[in-house]
Amino acid sequence: MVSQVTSFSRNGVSDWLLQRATAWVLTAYTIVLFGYIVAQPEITYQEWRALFSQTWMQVFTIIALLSTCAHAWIGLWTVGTDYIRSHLMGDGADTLRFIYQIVCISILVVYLVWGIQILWGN
Amino acid sequence: MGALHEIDIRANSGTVHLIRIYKKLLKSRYAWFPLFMEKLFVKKDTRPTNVGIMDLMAFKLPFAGWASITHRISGVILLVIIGIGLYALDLSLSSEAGFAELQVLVSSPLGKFITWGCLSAFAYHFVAGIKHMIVDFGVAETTEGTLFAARLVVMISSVLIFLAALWVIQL
Repeated sequence: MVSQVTSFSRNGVSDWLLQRATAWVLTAYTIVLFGYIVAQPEITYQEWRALFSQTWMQVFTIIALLSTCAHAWIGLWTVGTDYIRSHLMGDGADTLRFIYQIVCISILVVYLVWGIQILWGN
Repeated sequence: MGALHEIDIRANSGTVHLIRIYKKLLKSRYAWFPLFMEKLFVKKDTRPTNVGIMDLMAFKLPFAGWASITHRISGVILLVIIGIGLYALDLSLSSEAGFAELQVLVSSPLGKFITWGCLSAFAYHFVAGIKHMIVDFGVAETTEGTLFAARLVVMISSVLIFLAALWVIQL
């Protein structure tokens, strides 16, 4: 078995399972959040604020954000290792993929920290 | 492995000397002999090699293939959209004024268009993702099933994208 050190869990089956598990979490979060927004067209700041100050919503949001990061990393890793390859584009591909992965993970870390700050910083 | 005179890249130091002699022989006027022997005894490698993206371009991508690559593209675009979403959430929760500012932003023509674009990419990725998770249970694994599922994904997401446009217009 080939183990890729940059994959999320260093195991393809485990990555696949995580991709699905996080997808279900995100499906549930999407339905709850969009359901709330559509059901309350004339939403005020106080109502919106109250929604996000409830513990269950904060926990749900942070779980959704963590899921987003794991899900996005697995997806972006797959895309990167599928297309940015020396097999397809020559010797520079490994360096380019490394840079791509650094950029992706940096963005996701920023999102995670930003999300935590939005939920508990304001 | 190709013809004998092509293997020098993989040879260890012990065989380098032999290969050098062999190459010299190939350049000499007796070259016909080793070439004839190669033709007779060296089995050509007929195993398939991995194809490159240019080889894939030669084929017409089937409908389900387009549906799949769109799922990937929308996923990559979502990396940026998550940032826009977090910005909107940050602004909306920051203060009463921030919430009002977001409402103004989203109701401007450009704001509406961006919101609709984000919702569209999200809707497609969402529906195609749900399809993936249903397929995981062993549903629609035949060629016809795959095509049907891909068509269903495009139809459902089109409806959602249309509804998103209606929702964005009334903002």
